[in-house]
Amino acid sequence: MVEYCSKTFVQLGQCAVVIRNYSQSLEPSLQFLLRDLKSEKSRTEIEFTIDDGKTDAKEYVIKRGDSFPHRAKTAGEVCTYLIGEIIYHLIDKNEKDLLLHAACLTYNGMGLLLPGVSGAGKSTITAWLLENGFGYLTDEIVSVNLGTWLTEGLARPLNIKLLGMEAIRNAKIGKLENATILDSSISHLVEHRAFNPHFVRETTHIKVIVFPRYSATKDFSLTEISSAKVTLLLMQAFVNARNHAEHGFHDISKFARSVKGLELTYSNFDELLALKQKLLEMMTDQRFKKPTS
Amino acid sequence: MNQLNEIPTPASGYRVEEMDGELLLYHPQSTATVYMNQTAALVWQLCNGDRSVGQIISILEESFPDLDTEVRADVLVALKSFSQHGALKS
Repeated sequence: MVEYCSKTFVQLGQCAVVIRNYSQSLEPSLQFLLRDLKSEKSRTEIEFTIDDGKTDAKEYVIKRGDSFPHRAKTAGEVCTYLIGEIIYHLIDKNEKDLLLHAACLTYNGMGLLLPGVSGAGKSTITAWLLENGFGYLTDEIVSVNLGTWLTEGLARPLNIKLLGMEAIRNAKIGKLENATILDSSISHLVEHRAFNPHFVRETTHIKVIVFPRYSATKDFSLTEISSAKVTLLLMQAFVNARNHAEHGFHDISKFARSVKGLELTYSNFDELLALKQKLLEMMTDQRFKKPTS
Repeated sequence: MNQLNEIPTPASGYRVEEMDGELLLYHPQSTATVYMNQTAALVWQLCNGDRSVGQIISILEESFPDLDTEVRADVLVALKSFSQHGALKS
């Protein structure tokens, strides 16, 4: 009997993980999840294995090294769990790069960062901006190289919460009829090419940072904020701070000085037209202001 | 910190980053970050462990005579905020 096995490396910044899949039935879903995350590099510290369960009940078993296995019943549950674990382990040991919990897009070759806690609307705004001509790096996590200040993102499928998905469908954003979508109980993993068919994997220098906040009850506002405010808010999105000397405060403030910051409160897609207009004004000057002390 | 003769003294261990007139204080042990707008930043810079609250108010009232009615309240609000964030020695 020939045993099925695929191997995929995923790297972000200095850290990598490898995923070995022994479940042939899961492979299409896994390829959907990892398609734009694959790396050629083989240096790795963490290994995940996925297998079909041995019981009659249809289930998948996900293990990290010798850890206690996690069991999932659907491909959507496997992918949602696995991407969370991958992100955790890419962050956990990274002590060289600035890793920020943020969506990241490009326009005109320049980078736009959207940091925010879960529920702030990162993925939903990302879908709208992709539909409006921006390029995709990630909806979840970026790595900023401390030497070159080049930013790369984990280009997973968009992870859109149930409410955001409803809004996207109602506003007819993207080409969802033929898109691959994996469902879990809390969100949908949606093919980012549904919004962004001409995707090219790229790195960028960040020019503008927008801190979004979705609120159904608050009035729209879009306000420029100071470098000090940008630093304060970025520190809250800085997920590997504990791996850096003095929690990377000096590096984050250096980074903040080199970008422009905006705070956004919005309740619907129509209001994002004002954001787009502002971004296009801010992202026309292609010069990169290298962070300095 | 409401008594005018009290002397506000910065707590030790904070890293200070000045950015366009505003200040950020960061404490590596507690990982607390304190943002100070330009007014609060001025007050912080006057907290040198020697000056009293009253002296800080007087200095700022002399420097900003047009705003003298607001200065006192702004200073007290800023000092209260520093205190709440643990940026002043108790």
